[in-house]
Amino acid sequence: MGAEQQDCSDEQLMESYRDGDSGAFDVLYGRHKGGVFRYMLRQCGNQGVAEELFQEVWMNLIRARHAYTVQARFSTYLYRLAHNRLIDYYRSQAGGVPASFDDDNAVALESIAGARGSDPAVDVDARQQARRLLQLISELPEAQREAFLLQQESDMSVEEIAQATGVNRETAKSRLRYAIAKLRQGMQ
Amino acid sequence: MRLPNSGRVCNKTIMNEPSAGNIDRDAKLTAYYKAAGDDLPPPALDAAVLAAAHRAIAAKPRFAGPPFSRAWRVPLSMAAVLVLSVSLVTLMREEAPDIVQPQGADLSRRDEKRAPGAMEAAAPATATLADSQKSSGLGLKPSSSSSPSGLGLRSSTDPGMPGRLRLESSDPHRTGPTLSGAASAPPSTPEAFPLTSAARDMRPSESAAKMRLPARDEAQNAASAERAATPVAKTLTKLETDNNARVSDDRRAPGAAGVVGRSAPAASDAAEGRVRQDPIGPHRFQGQPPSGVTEARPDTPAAKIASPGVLARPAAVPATPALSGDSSASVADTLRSHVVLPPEVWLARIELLHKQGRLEEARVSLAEFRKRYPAHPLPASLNAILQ
Repeated sequence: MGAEQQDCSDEQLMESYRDGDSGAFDVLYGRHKGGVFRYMLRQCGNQGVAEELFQEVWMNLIRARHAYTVQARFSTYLYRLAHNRLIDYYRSQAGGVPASFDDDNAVALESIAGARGSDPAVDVDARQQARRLLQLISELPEAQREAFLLQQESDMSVEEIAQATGVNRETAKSRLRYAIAKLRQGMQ
Repeated sequence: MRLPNSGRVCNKTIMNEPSAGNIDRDAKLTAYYKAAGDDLPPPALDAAVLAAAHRAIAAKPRFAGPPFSRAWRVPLSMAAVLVLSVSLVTLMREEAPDIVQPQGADLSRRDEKRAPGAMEAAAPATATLADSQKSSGLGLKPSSSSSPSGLGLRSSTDPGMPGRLRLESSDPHRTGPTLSGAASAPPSTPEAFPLTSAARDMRPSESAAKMRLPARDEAQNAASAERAATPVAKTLTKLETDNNARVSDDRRAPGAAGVVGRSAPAASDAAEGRVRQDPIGPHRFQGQPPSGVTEARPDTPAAKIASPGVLARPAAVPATPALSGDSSASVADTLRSHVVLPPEVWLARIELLHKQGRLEEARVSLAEFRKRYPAHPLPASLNAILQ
C-alpha cells in the first residue's frame, strides 16, 4: 500500500482498482469499511445480518467495478449500493420495506411526539449519553435513521443523501431534519 | 416563532436549520455518536472481502474490445453496399441503353436484340440489294437503263434462284396473285426462315400451290389497321389510295408510255421497299435478298405495311399493271424504303432523288424525315427542297 494512494481521493482509488490496481481497493476498503458496517449494523440491528449485508455490498462493488465512472462522490456511490441492498433485505423480511421509506412525515411527527417523554437527566456522563443516543437512533424511523447515519458516517450533504437513498432533496432534508430534532429532544 | 400563514408555534429545535438549505451537523450529537462506539467488521470479513477483490483483479481480464464479428460488421456492410451499388449501376447501363441512344440507333439495337442472327443476314441482303440493282439496272440508275418493256425489275433478277418470287413479273402465269399471296404469308413462327428458304427453293407453281394464304382478308384488315395507326402509315395509305385509283386507269390503258417509263425506278424502289420496309418488326433483315417477295413478312404488321400492294391486290387482278409506273406508288415505295434507313443514309437517298429530278419523292421523303428526326441537321441542298 503506497503512501501516494493514501493521498488519493476515493474516486481515483476506485478508478485505479477498476483499471487493475488491487492495492487501491485496500485503501478504499480501509476508509469506508467502518462506516458501511455501522450503517448496516444500526439499520438492521443484527450483527450477523449486518456482516452478511456488509460483505454483499462490497462484493457488488467489486463486480461493478468495470462500469464505474466518476459521476459523484465515491461514498455516495458506495452507500447507494448499501441502501439498495438494505431495501432488498427489508423486502425479504415479513414486514417488507418499512413505512418510513414511503411516508416519513407522518411517522416523523409521531416519533417526535413520542420522544418527548424521555428524561435526559438520567444520563450523566458521556458514555451514558452515547448509549442513550444509540438507543434513540434505534428508535428512529428507518428512513430518518438512514439519513442521520449517512450524514454521520460519510459526512454527506442533503443532496448526497438524496442521491444515495434515491429520493429528492426535500425528502432527504425532511428526513434528516426530523431525525436530528428527535435525537436532540431525546438527549435533552 | 410564528409561521407566516399559521397560528401555531413551531418547535424551536425543529426550525433551527441553516439558511443555506443544508442541515448542519449537531456537534453534540456527533460527539455522542462518536463516543457510542467504533464498531468494525470482524477481521475475517475484512480478509474475505479483500481476497475477493484481489481475485477479481488477478482473474483473466475480460476482452474489452469488440468481438471479431462486431469489429468487421461495419466494413463488411460498407463493402456489400458498394458491390451492390456498382452491380446495379452496371446492370442498369446494360439494360437501359435506349435512354441515351438516338432513335435510329435504338431501332437498330432493338433489332439486334430481338434477332441476333438478323445482322448476319442483313449483310448479304444488302449486298444482294446492290447486286439486284446493278443487275436490273434499276435502283439508283435512271429509268433509261431499264429494259425496254419496263419489266426489268419484274423479270428475274437472279435466275439462279427460282424461289425468289418475282411479284412484278410480267408473266401472269409465273407470278400470279396467288403466288404473291403465298409468298407474302409465311408463318410467323420462328421457323419462318426455314420455311421461307423452302419456299424459295420451290418452283413458283409449287409455291403457289403450297403457300396459300388462308386468311388473306384478315391480313388485309390488319394491314389497314396498322397503316392507320402511325402517321407514316397514314401517308402510305393515302398514297396507296391514289395508287389504287390510278391502277384502275392503268388497267384501262396498260400500254401507256408513261407507265412503262416510270416502271423501272418505281419497281426498283418497290423492290427495295419490300426488302427493307419494316420499321417495327425485327425480321426485316431476315435472310432474304431485297428483290425477293418472300423477304416481306406479311404476318407482321410492318410487313403488311411494307407490301400493301401485294396483300391488297385482288387475286384476280394481275400484278403487272398495278405497280408499274405510278408516281404515287413510287413515292409510297420510296418513303417505305427510306423510313427504316439510318438518318444519314436516308438523307443521302433524298439527295440522290433530288439529283435525279424525282422532286416529289424527295419532298415527301424529306418531310417524313423531318417528322422522325426533327433535330437532325439537313444539308443546304435539302433545305432548298423544304422551302
